[in-house]
Amino acid sequence: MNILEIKNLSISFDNTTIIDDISLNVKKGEIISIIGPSGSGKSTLLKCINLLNIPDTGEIIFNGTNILTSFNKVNQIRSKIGMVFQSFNLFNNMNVLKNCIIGPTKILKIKKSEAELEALRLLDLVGMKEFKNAKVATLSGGQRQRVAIARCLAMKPDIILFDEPTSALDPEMVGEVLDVIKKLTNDGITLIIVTHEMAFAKEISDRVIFMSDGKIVEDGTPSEIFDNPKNERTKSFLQRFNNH
Amino acid sequence: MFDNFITIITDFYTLLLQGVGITLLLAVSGTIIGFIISLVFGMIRVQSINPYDNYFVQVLKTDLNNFVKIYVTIFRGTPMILQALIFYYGFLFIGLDWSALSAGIFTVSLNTGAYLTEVIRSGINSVEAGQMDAARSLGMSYPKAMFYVVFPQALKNSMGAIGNELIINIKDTAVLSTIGIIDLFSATETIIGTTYLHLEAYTIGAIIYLFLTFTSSKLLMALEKKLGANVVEITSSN
Repeated sequence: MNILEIKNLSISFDNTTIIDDISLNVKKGEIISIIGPSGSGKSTLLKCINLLNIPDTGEIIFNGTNILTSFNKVNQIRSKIGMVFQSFNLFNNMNVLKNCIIGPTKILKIKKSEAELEALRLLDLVGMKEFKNAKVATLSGGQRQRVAIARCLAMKPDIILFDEPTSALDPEMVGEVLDVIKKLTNDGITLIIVTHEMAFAKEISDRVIFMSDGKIVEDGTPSEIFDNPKNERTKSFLQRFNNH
Repeated sequence: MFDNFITIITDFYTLLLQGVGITLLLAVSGTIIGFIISLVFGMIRVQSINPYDNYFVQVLKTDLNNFVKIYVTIFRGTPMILQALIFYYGFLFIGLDWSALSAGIFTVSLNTGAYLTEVIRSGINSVEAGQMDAARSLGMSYPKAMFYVVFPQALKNSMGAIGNELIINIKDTAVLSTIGIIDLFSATETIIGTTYLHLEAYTIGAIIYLFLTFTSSKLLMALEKKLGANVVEITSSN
């Protein structure tokens, strides 16, 4: 069953086409990595799925509903589509625990005590339980991203979109965040991960998509993409990665 | 000369205290009402048109934005003394019989509202866009995201400038004696009218103003510290 169907999606900013007629189906529970050079439209594609960017044309069908014609349900739809940002975006005016319960209590109307219990379980999962009362400003980048993942999970989303979750981290913190993402791959949540961590993408993905110039150039299993890329652009992109 | 100071204080302390009361009433109520105005108007100023807004919402946003821009331009671009005179006589002219004090509070409020609208606007804009994105991505509506996430941070960023406005208002309401309000400045003038002790009375007035602004500045700093805001001492722009 497809949880997400993207049909002929295009978006341009200031007459520059960022996404050029992309179509993509995502099965429930699938782990998809999107790789590709900077400026290829990977992040914009994620933002369109979460309606943070509004596409010019095309359809995005999530759980059978075309979300681009259902703006009255936009908040309900977004609550089912989690997003983890490159720059973490934890709420600076709240401590760690509050970050994780604000969504459940104010959007899902879950009782505070229940939300706290669940938040603590999730913070434990990401290894941040002991920081529950910490202020955001006192946390490292890796810690912030782990809390951001817990905050996202607290909404019990059907899909989580990861927008370069480790790109803003110091190298020694990348591992701790990737480990947390890896834990999620067994939970049946659909994950779409935009990343430059090739080894990670190869290890955890069911499917890898290579994007370039706003188009999906190649779409296949990790071994198809990484070991036997068919397209010249995929080949040269991966080559450049391997040489560094 | 020192005797003269003593004489003024002992003879006119009730008048001076009344003046202080009126000055504080004007400054505090003007700042509070102005702050409320600025919350609404500042919020209007940060509205941008979304592709999925319907025609009516788009027109409303544009018109309200233009209205607030004009309001801010007029009130920041003219002296408060003239605003007070125009309101006072203007409302009398159209048959609204109101006291000078009401006209004074009205003027200070609108004047402060204009300055603080810009403070709130820039306060909201200074919050990283990622905060709003993250709130919306969780499924918060725009008002909820504003209320729980963006606005508290904007307010924290604006605390210093809002406090500064109160201090400016304590001093600048002196011009409202022009429309016949018996504030602290007007009280010193009254004292001069009966005693002819110009220098002494003005000096006492200045010392009391300094005491009021200094005390409120310290109180505001303590408040900011308590609220965890970044304490920035802003030198008066007036």
